[in-house]
Amino acid sequence: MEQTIHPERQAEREHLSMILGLLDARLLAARAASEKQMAGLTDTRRDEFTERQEPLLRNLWAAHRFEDLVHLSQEFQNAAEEEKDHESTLREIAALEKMSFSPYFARIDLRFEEDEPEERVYIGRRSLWDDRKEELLVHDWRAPMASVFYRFGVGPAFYQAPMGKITCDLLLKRQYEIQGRELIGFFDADTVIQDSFLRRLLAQNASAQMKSIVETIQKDQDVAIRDEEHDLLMVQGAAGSGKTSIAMHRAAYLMYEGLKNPLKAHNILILSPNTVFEKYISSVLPELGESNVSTSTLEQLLEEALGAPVQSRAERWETLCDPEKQPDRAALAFKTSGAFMTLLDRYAEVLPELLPYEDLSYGGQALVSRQELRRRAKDLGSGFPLAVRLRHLETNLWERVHALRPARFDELRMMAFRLGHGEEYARGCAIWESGVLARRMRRITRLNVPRLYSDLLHDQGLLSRLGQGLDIPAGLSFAPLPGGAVPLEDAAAMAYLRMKLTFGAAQGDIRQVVVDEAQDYSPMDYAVLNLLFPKARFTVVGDIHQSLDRNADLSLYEEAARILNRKSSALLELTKSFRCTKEILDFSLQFLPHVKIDSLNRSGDAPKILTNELLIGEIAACRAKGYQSIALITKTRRDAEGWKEKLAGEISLPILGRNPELGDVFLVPLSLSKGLEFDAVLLLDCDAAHYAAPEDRRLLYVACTRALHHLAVFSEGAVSPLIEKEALHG
Amino acid sequence: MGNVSQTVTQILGDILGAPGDTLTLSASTASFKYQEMASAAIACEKAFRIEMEDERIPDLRTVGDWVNYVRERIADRDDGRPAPTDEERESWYYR
Repeated sequence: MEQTIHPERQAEREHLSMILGLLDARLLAARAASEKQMAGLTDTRRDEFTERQEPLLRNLWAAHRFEDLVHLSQEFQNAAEEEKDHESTLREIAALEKMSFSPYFARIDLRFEEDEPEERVYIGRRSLWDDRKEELLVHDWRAPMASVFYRFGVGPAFYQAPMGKITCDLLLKRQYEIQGRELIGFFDADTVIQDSFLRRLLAQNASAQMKSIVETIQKDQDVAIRDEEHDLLMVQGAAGSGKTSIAMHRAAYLMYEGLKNPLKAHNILILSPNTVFEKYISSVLPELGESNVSTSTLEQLLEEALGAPVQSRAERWETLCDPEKQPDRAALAFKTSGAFMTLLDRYAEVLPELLPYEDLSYGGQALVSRQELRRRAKDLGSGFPLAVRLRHLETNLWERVHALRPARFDELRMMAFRLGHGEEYARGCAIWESGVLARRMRRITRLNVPRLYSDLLHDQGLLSRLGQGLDIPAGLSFAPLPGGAVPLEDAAAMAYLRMKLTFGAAQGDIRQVVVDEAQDYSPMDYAVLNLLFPKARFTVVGDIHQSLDRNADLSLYEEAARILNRKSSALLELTKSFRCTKEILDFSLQFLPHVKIDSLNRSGDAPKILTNELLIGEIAACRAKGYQSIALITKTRRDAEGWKEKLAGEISLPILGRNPELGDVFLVPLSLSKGLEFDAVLLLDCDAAHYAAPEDRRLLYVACTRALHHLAVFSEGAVSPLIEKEALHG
Repeated sequence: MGNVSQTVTQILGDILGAPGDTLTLSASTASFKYQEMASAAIACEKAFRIEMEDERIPDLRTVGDWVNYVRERIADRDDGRPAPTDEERESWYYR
């Protein structure tokens, strides 16, 4: 790291070994405590099943003496509490182990008063308190004081403490690299130099598992992470600007804040585009010191809301890329639009008019006429959703039936006796009769949302009536819904309609929702999220240039803000990219020349264009360079499977899918590579057959910007016409 | 009070011609004809001193559905408190 020996190097080493010594002592004590608890625990467990107690358990209800029961319940309680203590000790041990690997990553020296000595503040993933000296040796990175490190360069600074704004002088900002208990180096940095530190860090082969974590938060990232002012915070970040790490840090920060406020970890939901990402997040978040954040995908939320299987994003992507299954893009665009949302609102309003009303009778007597049903469905407590009103109506009607039932049953019994049957026959008739009535009633009162949705799509008259004044493309028609999993766009629209018509799906206990890859969410998706999480604050991060299936622009955020309709909202743009080398970024930007990204001028190898027979050699070369993640990116999953088979004789290649724990070389379908980064990217099938249409420019951009250090594109024969820029041909 | 699940399973097993202890909660009762539904309902009503609503009975498609519905009616009858059996009452009150 530093070429010359830093004068404080020895002092820093000693400080680290002092901290490590303390951590070791803690760890030793915690392990001893754990063993002791463990011994106690097994005793208790054994006791539970001793012969002395077994009869007591078996005869719980026959245990006559009050003391016996009290004794028994105490035994259970003790066991449960010991178990709880033990779990918390185990958590403590895990945290200490992690901490002794790298106890802190930064230090700031602060002076609060002119004539006072400066205060040294070490910052780490967790705080460390010294009982003997009664001082905080390491401050948690989320503590208010630590924010100075992220927000200020050397000079005057301030932070918000619980007692108010505290001003101070920032005298020193130092960053450490400590690995495996070793001080590898440190670096005094002002904000400007912070990026060069980052550059050095990246030059040293950042692991695919987001190495940047806490150490590399930039000033503007920090503002996004700590923003508590806005109910809706949107972050538009260029490829490699660290927006994904913002989403994760923000979740951790909010959880940390939650320790002070009643906000609990389980009140935060992270929406991630695919399960790869979800696993990735859950393995990175505990590293930030917290666990129990709930992560989900839009598909999962929709499945819960609809109670039916929903097509995954990856599946949808495969259909979009499949020339045989080309979906109607106009229909797809309309179904995800804000206009369709308004149309569904109108549909929900007029639906009471459209239900299949009929006259209902019971036991030969008229129960209710169709006119009365229609009138009541329309008026009944119109503050409630239609489904609730209809259920109420149904209950009312059954009350009428129940009043008539005794007399009706007498008639049925008389009839049965006359026919020579007994009571069971009469009751059977009554059940049949009521069953028929129930079915007829439910046709009116139980809303079958998928059917209502399908009815709407295929009723041209209704569509044009409800669509008046809306921007609906001419000649739009919809194919029948397929059986099996509901297509994603239909699922969102159906869920929206269902929530408009019923109660119950809203999750009011979720207070924070973090949406990653925001460009993949349509207006309809945001509308669903809005109804699902009415009380939540939203953090929405994305990159409009990385939307795979449509042409997104900045209006996406405007529309999201309009639909989510929170009290205050802000949009933050990050244009500084620190993932790729300058060469890789330049190469990637040829596909989207209008995109503005500031690179950090980190130099590396020029991207290469190679033929397929050089692939195996290229993989070997990447391995020789020590790259830990080498991703072979294909356009679709099907392509990945083809390559896996083709190369099976030479190299065994897993496909990145539901299991992200892979070796160093693997195949990744493009749609799953989003949000991830790899040391080396080898982009396969880069020919005209796979990438020629204007919309493929985004795909190439996404694939190429996944690379940290090394990029090579492969093609059999002529390379894609979208590649114009000079690169090294192999 | 008697075990609801056991008693209901026994009643349904008698009608299905299967011993009660071989029936699981997911076993189907969809083959019931209306008169068999009636027999089962009457037997449950007598055993638990409840009233089962005719319109709900055709919806009960498994042993588990029957058990749940009987439990629901017991709860309705008792305003949420299960009624103790005579033996239980004795053991708690007269000890």
